Amino acid sequence: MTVLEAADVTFRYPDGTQALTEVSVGVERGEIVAVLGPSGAGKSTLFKCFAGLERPSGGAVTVEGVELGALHGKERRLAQHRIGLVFQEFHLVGRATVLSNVLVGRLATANPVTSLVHWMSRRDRTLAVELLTRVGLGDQVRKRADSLSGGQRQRVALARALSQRPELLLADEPVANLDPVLAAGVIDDIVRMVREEGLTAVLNLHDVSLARRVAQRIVGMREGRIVFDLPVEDVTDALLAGLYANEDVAANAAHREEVAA
Amino acid sequence: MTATIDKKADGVSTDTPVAAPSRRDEIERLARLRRPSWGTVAGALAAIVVLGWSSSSSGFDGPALVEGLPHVGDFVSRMFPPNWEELPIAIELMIETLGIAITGTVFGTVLSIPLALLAARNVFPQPWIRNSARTFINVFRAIPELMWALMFVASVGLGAFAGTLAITLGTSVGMARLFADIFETADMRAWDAAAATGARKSQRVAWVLLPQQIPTMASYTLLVLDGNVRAASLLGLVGAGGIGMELNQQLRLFEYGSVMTIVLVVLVVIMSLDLISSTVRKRFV
Ligand SMILES: Nc1ncnc2c1ncn2[C@@H]1O[C@H](COP(=O)(O)OP(=O)(O)OP(=O)(O)O)[C@@H](O)[C@H]1O
Ligand SMILES: [Mg+2]
Repeated sequence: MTVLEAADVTFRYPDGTQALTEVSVGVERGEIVAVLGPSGAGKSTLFKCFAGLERPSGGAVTVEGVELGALHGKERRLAQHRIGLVFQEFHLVGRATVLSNVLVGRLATANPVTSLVHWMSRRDRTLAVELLTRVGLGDQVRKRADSLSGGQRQRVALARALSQRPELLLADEPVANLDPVLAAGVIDDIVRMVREEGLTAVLNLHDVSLARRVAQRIVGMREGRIVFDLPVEDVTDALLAGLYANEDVAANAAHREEVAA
Repeated sequence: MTATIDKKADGVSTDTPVAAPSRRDEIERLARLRRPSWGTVAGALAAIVVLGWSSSSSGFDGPALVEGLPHVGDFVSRMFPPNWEELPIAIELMIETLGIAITGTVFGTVLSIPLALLAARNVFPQPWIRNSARTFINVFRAIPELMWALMFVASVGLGAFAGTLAITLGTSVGMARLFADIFETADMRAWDAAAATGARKSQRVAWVLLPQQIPTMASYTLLVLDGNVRAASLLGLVGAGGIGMELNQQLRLFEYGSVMTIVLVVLVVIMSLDLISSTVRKRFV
């Protein structure tokens, strides 16, 4: 069954930049898909369209058959609740504890009045602590989020997204702010949790080897279009070289200019 | 400014001789920048005119001040020794003053938060909400607390209740403006992430915005409390409770020793409060 479906999605920013052109992609339940592509390819824009944070200028994005962009109010909130998001820069409340950051993921279904005074049900709190334990932060629940390391913060953000009990997990460059060793650890944790929870995941990555290691399918993007969409074993070095081709040329040219100057 | 020039001057001695003249030009150009521009001169003249006008309309009078100095000296000398029999009354009324200030600050702060949220663009992006909230705040902020006190004395009668209402109102609109600005400078990434989990706006305020901003808000609240104790010490002048009423009475009775005691009590309390609040505020930021 298709969990996420993009049909001819075109996206234009208000300033006229065409970031996506007729992007069509479907993600089946339980699949882990990596989106690769050079800087400016439109990966983040696609992520925002998938998450319902932006509405496509053309085409449609549906999650479990529902078009998020067309919903309003409570329906929209509940639809958003079924999609967990992980961002490059974590987006945590630094001064709040690790636990309360994770509980934010439970707010949509919590009592709207008592939750305002931070009273959450035992079930919600148990779930939050359990998820934190599973990402290796069981003994840090009372710590302030801004006292953690980068890798730990992203694990908190992962626990927040998972506490929503989502169907779909979307991550936009979740490890771009981390050093390579840490990055591999965090990606492994994300994928392990996605498998354990039986989720569907789309991960925007910039590291080809990480993508190859964790994804079942790789979508290559460039200049707002899909260049290839293949099972990981069919993604050849030649394809990847083509995906990043001119960027290397351009980067080298820029480098030469810098050296010359 | 001077530091920059010094650094450049150092550079002259170590640089090659060829580079030296251009450096010197640069120094002279910078030095010319120190000369007042026409704008500055015009501004200074305008300031002198405004000062002259305002001091004449304020009744400021040089010779009268000189003539009056012996009287001021006389007045001060009659304040000694302080009348310690006044002390228990002064302390009791100072406690009432603190009560007015603290109650007014607490209720005012609580009231100011919803108002500030309405006035913060990032919480309510609709311009009509923000503009009406800001207009409301600015209109009410323009009225001084002593005026509110006069109006409340007229409506709820003499006493501390009128003073508390005046401080509450003044604080709520004053703080609403401060808090709205604090909210607008908040980092909204966690707020957006919480929105994407499906959390309601009220929940985002309680779980994201307030936890992020509470140290700054608490720090400003303490600062405002300081100001409110000062304001509450004067409320008695218009009959709105606190130590000001007693001060006014003792002045009218020419009991300068008692006046001194009252002034001393106010002084000690405000200074200690200042000390405590600045210590506490340092721990917030
Ligand atoms: N807010 C915006 N307004 C206008 N143009 C934008 C905006 N955000 C992105 N773009 C443009 O849209 C295109 C796609 O950007 P996007 O951020 O989706 O790329 P990306 O693949 O995520 O790149 P990166 O790997 O650098 O994150 C780029 O040309 C970018 O300049
Ligand atoms: Mg991006």
